Amino acid sequence: MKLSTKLMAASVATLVGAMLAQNVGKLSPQEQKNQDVATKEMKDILQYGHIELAEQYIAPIYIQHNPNVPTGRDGFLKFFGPRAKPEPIKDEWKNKPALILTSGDLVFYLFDRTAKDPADPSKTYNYNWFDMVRVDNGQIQEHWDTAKKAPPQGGR
Amino acid sequence: MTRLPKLRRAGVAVALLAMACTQMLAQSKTPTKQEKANLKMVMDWWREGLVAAHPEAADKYLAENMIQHNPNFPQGRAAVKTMIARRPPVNPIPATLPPERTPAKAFAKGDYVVLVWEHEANDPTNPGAKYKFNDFDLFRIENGHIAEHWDGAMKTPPNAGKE
Repeated sequence: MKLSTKLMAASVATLVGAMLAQNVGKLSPQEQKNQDVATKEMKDILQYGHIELAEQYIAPIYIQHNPNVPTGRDGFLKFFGPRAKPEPIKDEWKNKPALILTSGDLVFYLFDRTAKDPADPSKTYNYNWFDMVRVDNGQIQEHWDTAKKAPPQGGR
Repeated sequence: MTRLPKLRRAGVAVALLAMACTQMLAQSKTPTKQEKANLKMVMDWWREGLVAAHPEAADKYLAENMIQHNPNFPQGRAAVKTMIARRPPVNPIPATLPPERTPAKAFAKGDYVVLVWEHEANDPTNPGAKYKFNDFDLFRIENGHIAEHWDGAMKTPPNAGKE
């Protein structure tokens, strides 16, 4: 009994340790700045709905690779503007990425998502989504993600 | 040949070099020796294991108890090896990735390696037309092996364009 409790505590500690030990490398001051700008889009603009920040953080020539969203800052505003529901911005994410990696001008986000299992709609399963942006001169210049075009009647 | 064009050529060369340097500085990419080795290892795995379909590459590059986040695969190295073994191996193994199997972006940071792909598919909203989309593979490296893998695969056909 005592031993199994100890073992359980040890395995929980190992698991927590493994989660905390996520080694995402050392960021240069410029990489940290780039990551901060990228987070303005991913968190403050998209998750907290502050579309007005696009003027400052999204470059006019923003190249959009998501095939469902028009390109450019104008396209971004046209697509996300009507959907935005602004809320007070917090430091913490509403939907926290599982991982953030920054290398030079590229910032990569991994998200955990859940979907209904097509084989058994009473069950769900986990899958992953990525977003990546390129930052230059304090503005986001380019964006990639997993999105594909759905048939007209489908969702995103 | 007069002196002037020669000087002009030298000037162009210096300008090109300056542009290349600016580009490098703008990217400020300074991978560590370990990050460079991790990126090379993942690209070798991709080329030998997935492009050339050599099952033994799985033993060389993947940890036996690899954590698999693709929801269509069981955990561990064995499942990946079995999948590769269904295809005929390519010999000799190509020295470089063919252009259509080369990632659009690739980098290593910390223990992780990111590959971002550009694919083309039939446009479901416009019959006869094609469109481009992106996908990713992410790896965590531990003790010189791939210890964890994520990608964009789903259990449903919307993501079935994945290779």
